[in-house]
Order: sequence, then structure tokens, then C-alpha cells
Amino acid sequence: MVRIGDTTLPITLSLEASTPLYEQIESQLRQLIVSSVLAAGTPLPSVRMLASNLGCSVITTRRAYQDLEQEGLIHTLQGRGTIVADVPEEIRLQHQHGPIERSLQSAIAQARAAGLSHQELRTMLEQILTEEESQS
Amino acid sequence: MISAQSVTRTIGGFMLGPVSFDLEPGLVYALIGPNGSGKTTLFRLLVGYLRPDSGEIMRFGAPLLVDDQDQTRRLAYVPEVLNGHDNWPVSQVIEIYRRSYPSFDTARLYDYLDGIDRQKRFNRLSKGQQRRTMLALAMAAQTDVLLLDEPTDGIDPFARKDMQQAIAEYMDIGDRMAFIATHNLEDVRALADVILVLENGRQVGIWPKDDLTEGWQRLWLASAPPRALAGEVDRQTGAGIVVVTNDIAATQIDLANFGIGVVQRQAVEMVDSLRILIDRQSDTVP
Repeated sequence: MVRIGDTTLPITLSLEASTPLYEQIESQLRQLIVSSVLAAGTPLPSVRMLASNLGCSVITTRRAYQDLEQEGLIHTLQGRGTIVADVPEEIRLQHQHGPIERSLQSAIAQARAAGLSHQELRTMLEQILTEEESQS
Repeated sequence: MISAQSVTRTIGGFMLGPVSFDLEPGLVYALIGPNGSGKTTLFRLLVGYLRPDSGEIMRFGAPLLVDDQDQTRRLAYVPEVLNGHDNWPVSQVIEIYRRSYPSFDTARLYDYLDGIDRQKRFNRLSKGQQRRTMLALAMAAQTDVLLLDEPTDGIDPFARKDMQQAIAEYMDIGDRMAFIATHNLEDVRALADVILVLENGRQVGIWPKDDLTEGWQRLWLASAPPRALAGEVDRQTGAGIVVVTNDIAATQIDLANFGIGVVQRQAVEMVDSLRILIDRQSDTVP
């Protein structure tokens, strides 16, 4: 039997996670695209082939592709499959900064809960950065 | 694309139905049921080899008429028991298909049949080769609908994987639909979008496949909750308190409110979630 162009993406689904399957596909594919692991123009597997590889249904993979298409990260060409879109630098940075900002926000919330002042927090961040710099 | 509305059919002492469903283009449906559950009878009804005692079958927007050549050409069927071609060379069986199906793709067929001697008589092929040949013919016919009764039965794991791949590729073209009866959960995992379950001739349920895995978890709890948890579908006692949920997010919130810790968690196998859903469904059907 023939095998034609099956791009296997480095995506795995976890059933132990409480995140919906389409979100797991979306976030992993988004990460691969904004970090340029998948360059603009890279052909992606069809929703059917991706579903078959991951063991989920095309209902799920179609939803993930639709969402990423709306975000402008992928592009479906009529009759010619789906490719990675040319993502502008500022959007790429936004996606890369987003998760970092969220981690910082949750660290700030934790510090506040522990009663740390802004000044103490700034000092802590400066200290960590200085330690990092001296190590590298 | 194919629908059944309250279809019943009695054969001897066995009654199938009533079954009702609407199979949509673009999707692969898996038909699951033990032997004797009526899978083959259902397929024979959909192909038009049998007539329903009551109810209606629609294909491609029109009622099923046994002599409608146009409808027949849009559908390919691979039965579970292969016969009728026993003494013919494979090449002659191919010729019949080529004449019956206007879009028959010979090049694709030869790809599928790689390694099978087309001059051999059909009954001289191994069981697995016979199955591969019939499935290849059905897919090369390029019909809108594939009906497959146990397509990977008796096939080695490598050929099975190739077959799953080939069916996925078949589905990649246009708005096709496949309805596949199978005992094999590997096939279901790799191919199905929706699962239909028959038991003793009764249609027990239709579920989107991902509803059988997504959100399902088996949790071992530190203490017993005072009432059924949100999302809880099953509770077992044995090694501690074991709860099965099909909505882990809701269950986690509930557990946090009760202050109950989770000792261990595990994904639920599709066969287990299916069993739970079938039992719940059977309880509500009189």
C-alpha cells in the first residue's frame, strides 16, 4: 500500500490532563509555529491524517485547525491542504511573551498573598537576575 | 449521506432494530457489537441485499431502491465472509470491478495490491491477502461511501497499519463516508470519528469517539465524598475509593470544595468508558 506525504508532527495528547483535546493540539502546534520549529510554508497533515496519528476524531482536529487559522497562524489553501502561515514578528513575540507574562503575574499574586511589598518583589527579581548573570 | 429511520428486520428468530441514524459525509463511523448483534444484517440492509420489515433507509437523499444503479455505483461494500469469486483469477475479479465502477482507479489498486500475484486464483490467496484484495478493490472503486465488515480481521499488524493508513487516505478525498464494523479497538482509535453500538439487535447508542476519552479519568480518593461527585459515572470500592468521571474539570472543583485529595489518577481505556456508557444507556431503555 502507498504512503503519501504524511508529515508526523511532534504533538502528543494526554488523557491525564484536564485540558480538552483540541486545546492540547492548538497549544502545541501554536508553540511549534511561534518558536519557528515549523517554518512558514511548511505543509501540515490533513485533519484526517492528524486525527489518525493522534487517535482522536476529525471533529477535534478540524476545530483546532479552524482556531489556529483564525489566529492567523496557519493557512488552508482550497484543495491544496494546510500550511504554516507567515507570522509577523510582533505576533510571534506576543505569543512568546504571553506565557512568560502569565507566569510573572501568578508569581506576583503569590508574593502579594505572602505580604511582600512591590519594593521587596523588585529586589527579589533583581537578585535572581544578578545570580543568573554571575552563573552564565 | 445514509440514514435509517426506525428500521427493523427479522431473520429466523433474530430481530434487528429498530435502528435510526444519520451518517454524515466526511466522517468515519465504527460499528461495534459482539458477534450476533446484527452488524452483518444491518450492512445487508444498507447495501440493499435485504429489505426492511418496517422503517425507511435513505441513501444520497433518496429512498433506497434495490435496482437503482446510480446509487449502487456510489457505494462499495466488503462483506465479512468473502465468497463468490473463489475460482476466478484475481485479475478477473479486478475486471468486474473496473466495469462496474466508472471512477475505478487501476493505478491506485496496483499500489494497494503490491506483493499479491494477480494471476493467482482468489481462493489460493491467504485469508489476509483475500481481505486486502477486497478492501483494495472497494477503495479503488472511488465511491462516496465505503461499508466494511471486519476489514482487518485475520490480517497481520503491519498490513493492518497499512490498511488504516489507506482508509485514512481514502477519506482525505472529497466528502466521503465510511461505516466500518470492527472488533478491533486499534482500528477504532486510528479511524473512527463516531461510534455506534449494537447489542442483540438493539441500537444501544451513538457517541462521538472523543466523548469516550476526553475528560474521562479514574481517580483514587483519600476519603469518600458524601454524595456523587459532579461528572461521576461510576464508583468502585476495593483498593480505596475509586471514582470514574467523564468530566474531570467539574469533578476537580467538586473535590476541592469537599477538601478531598486525589491519591492517584489514570486515563480510562475506551473499552471501559464504552462499557459504562452502554450499561447506563441500557438502564434507561425499558
